[in-house]
Amino acid sequence: MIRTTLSPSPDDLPVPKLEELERGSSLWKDAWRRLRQNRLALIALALFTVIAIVCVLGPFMTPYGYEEQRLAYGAQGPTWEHWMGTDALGRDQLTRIMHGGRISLSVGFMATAVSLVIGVLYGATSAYIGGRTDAVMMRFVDILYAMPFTIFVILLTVIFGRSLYLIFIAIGAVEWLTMARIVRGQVLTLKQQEFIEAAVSLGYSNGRIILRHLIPNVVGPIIVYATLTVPAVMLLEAVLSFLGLGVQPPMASWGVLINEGKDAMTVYPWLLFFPALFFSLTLFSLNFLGDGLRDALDPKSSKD
Amino acid sequence: MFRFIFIRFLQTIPVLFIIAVLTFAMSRAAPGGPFSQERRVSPVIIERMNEYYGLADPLPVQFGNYIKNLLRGDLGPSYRHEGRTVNEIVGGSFPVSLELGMWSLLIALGLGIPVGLLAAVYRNTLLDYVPMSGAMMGICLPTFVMGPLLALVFGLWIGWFNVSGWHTPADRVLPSLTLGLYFGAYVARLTRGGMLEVLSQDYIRTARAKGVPEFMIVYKHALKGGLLPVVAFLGPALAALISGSFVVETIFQIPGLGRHFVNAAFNRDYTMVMGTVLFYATLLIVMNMIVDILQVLLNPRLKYES
Amino acid sequence: MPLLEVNDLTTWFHMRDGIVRAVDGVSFTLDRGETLGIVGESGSGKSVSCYSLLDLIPKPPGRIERGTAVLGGEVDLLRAPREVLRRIRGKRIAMVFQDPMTSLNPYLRISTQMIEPLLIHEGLGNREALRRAIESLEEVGIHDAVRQIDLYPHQFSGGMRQRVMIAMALITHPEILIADEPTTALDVTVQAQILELIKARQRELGTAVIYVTHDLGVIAGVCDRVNVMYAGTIMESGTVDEIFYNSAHPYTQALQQSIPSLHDKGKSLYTIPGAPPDLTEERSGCPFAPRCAYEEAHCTGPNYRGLDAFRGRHKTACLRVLEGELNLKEENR
Ligand SMILES: Nc1ncnc2c1ncn2[C@@H]1O[C@H](COP(=O)(O)OP(=O)(O)OP(=O)(O)O)[C@@H](O)[C@H]1O
Ligand SMILES: [Mg+2]
Repeated sequence: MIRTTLSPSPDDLPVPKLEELERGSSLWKDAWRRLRQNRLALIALALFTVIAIVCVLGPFMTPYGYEEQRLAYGAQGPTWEHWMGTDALGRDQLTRIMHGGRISLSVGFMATAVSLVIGVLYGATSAYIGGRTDAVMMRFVDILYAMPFTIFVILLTVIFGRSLYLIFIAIGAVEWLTMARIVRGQVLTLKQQEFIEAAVSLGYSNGRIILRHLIPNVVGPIIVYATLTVPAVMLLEAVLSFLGLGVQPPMASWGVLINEGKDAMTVYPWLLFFPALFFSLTLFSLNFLGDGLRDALDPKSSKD
Repeated sequence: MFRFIFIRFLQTIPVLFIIAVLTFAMSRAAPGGPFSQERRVSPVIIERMNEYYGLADPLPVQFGNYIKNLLRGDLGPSYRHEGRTVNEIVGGSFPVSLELGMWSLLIALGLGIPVGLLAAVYRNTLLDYVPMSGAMMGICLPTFVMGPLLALVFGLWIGWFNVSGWHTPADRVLPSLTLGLYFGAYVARLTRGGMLEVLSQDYIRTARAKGVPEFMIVYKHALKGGLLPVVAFLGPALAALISGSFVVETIFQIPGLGRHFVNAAFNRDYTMVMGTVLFYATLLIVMNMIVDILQVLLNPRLKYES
Repeated sequence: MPLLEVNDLTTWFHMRDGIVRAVDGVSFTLDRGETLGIVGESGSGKSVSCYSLLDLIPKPPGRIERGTAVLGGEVDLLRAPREVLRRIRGKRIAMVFQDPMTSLNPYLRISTQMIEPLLIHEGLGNREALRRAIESLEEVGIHDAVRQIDLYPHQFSGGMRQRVMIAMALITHPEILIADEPTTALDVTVQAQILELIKARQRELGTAVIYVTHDLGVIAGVCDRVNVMYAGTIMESGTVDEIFYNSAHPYTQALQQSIPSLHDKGKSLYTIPGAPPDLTEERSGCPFAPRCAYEEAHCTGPNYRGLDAFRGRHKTACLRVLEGELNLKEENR
């Protein structure tokens, strides 16, 4: 919910300087080298990879179905059969967490993709046309910034029902603003860069210019911002689900699981603890990864 | 300056209008119409709805009526609560949310600013690393995780506070902490970032070259500029506080507007949802306007330009 | 005894991609009341060597690796306790910076900033300090100072702001004024005014001035002695006459040739061949050798000894000149 408006400001993101631009794709090698030196970011990357793999592949390996109830079994703490315990209906908690993770992660990535598409198209168009159109388009973004988006997403779900796809679109539709600003800023700076003209006058082909100069330089900040958007979107989805306004049973995202865990925490605290742990670790790893990427793509930062 | 405030005020009008149009359009675009008989609703209410909205009239007329009512500050009857208007419900529950928000903001700023300052001044020392790792953790522990955890530990295990309710002063503690700590973490990071930015400016070097003592550099020369990001953050923070209040009021069962809104959304109480959305939107827009003005006041350059 | 004696000053920046040897063994002296110019291309370490004296470089990544800078024969600035150094800053040594647009605090009134040195170092009350501040603003040619002093920096033009900076620096009558390219950011007419102003105030107050610039023309106009810097070291040091008419280093010569105004009309403009040095590389011998027209093998060999006396106080770092192998005067005939 928070990131809708608390997104990192465009100013935080690295703006490539002329001399860095000219290096084009070697920027990426430098960035990768720097990222590898950043232990925290690497740990974050590893952690996220593990979580993602567990959630995607895990359900194929567990002997339990996520809807499979065993009422007689009831709620039990972690055991050898059920590593993370079971809920009151005897459902295996780990299985449910892995399935929930699939939903939460896919919401995170799908909604980010939606916001990416809208943001890139909008921002690039605005900057490319420039002039008054640009001013009007950006003023519109400013106005939208002032709107209470979580509330609008809730309103959307009230009116159009609570399907998963609607949630993708609703969240994506409100998360593109900052992306649009970033892309616009990038395209504007690039439009003015002499190296583009230089490359043109040196007779490089358009394809080569776009491939070796434009793409590497625009994509960096977008990747950084997208990495930071995924946890923001997941947070928004989790809030909706937590409030009972998101994914509907028997499907369960992490937000739903945390909500159920909260209701049962007096007696079965593990039902709260494990989904909360997965969720927080995911947010944690994505945020650190985003920060690490930002540092890696910003060549002017020093060793300290 | 007055001109600026006036212009800023005028700018809010189209935004509010757009929001009003959007809510109206959405409610009419809903599949089956907003007041269809999909659930059992008492005939009394149906009658009042029809009377209030003139649902038989053509759309433009409906819209006109709707705007007219809004201008009078009338949000209409509740669709679910027989005999109560949205105005009554909002009026009764908003003060509770407001109090919760105030406490949380107080915690967020009172904790976040000093921590961020210390971290910036003692950059790259333990005084930086430890609180800032804490802040990062705070950001990764959203309210709906933090709230139940606090309730579990301090409510159930240690037993200092009630797990729910909003009666005694002590009942304020856990909800305000849940919301406040989360924003405090943001504020701390913003303060640190803003201060570091300002401390690297040329004019800070000038102050050092003049022999200004270090603590005066922080308080006299850097603080004002360093806190600008925090002030700018207050606008979005208020929006986020509102959505945070949905969660916290649900967790701790506080009879605030947030909980009413969530319940209304859950029960598809259209009029209540629409009315609350408009109320929140107005609140936010007014708050954003105040924040904008505050920013201008803090920045002499902007102040004189406008 | 010189007012300031700097010896082997070395300041490095420890960056993620290596060590930038911004200042590497700089030694010079400054006498009471004299004007010392420091010239060199952009990035040659002029600013960093000045900031190091007052501990104004950003740390990290910067670090003063070694050296001494003795003020008045008593305190070593590089080793003085923070509190001692703080009392010297703004009182005995004052600074004027390159960019007047960013060097004044935009959030504070001019008056607040002007009186600060007096409140801190001379313990004056607000009223008396304000009186002095108005006085010194008028001395630098700001009219109607009583009213102007309550404005904010952004309400001043660049030239006016630099005047304010100078007035603020001189308000405590310091023994040394370090002016780091005080006119680079200003347009030409204002430049001349500011130079005049500094000279006039210097005469009245007996201040010694360290004048940093990359403009040799300015140096010729205002300085007594000159240090020519390249790649963080001093290449040549001498009086203005020695540097301009009797230069003993190929770099100084190249620098002069690249000034349009000192150049014969009609000839095409001279640029020093080769690229500026990479300060992250460790080097031995003369840093200018790769670009030098007179370079020979032993320039980068173990015999290279850095800056050394050539004739009296005229010093050069060129080994071939020092050894008498090279006579630049003859060469240019
Ligand atoms: N804060 C810093 N961090 C890293 N490197 C720095 C920093 N400040 C200066 N340097 C490096 O130190 C070297 C010398 O810089 P310095 O500012 O002293 O040059 P200068 O001679 O004053 O040039 P100019 O005429 O452009 O002012 C440069 O290579 C610069 O990159
Ligand atoms: Mg400089």
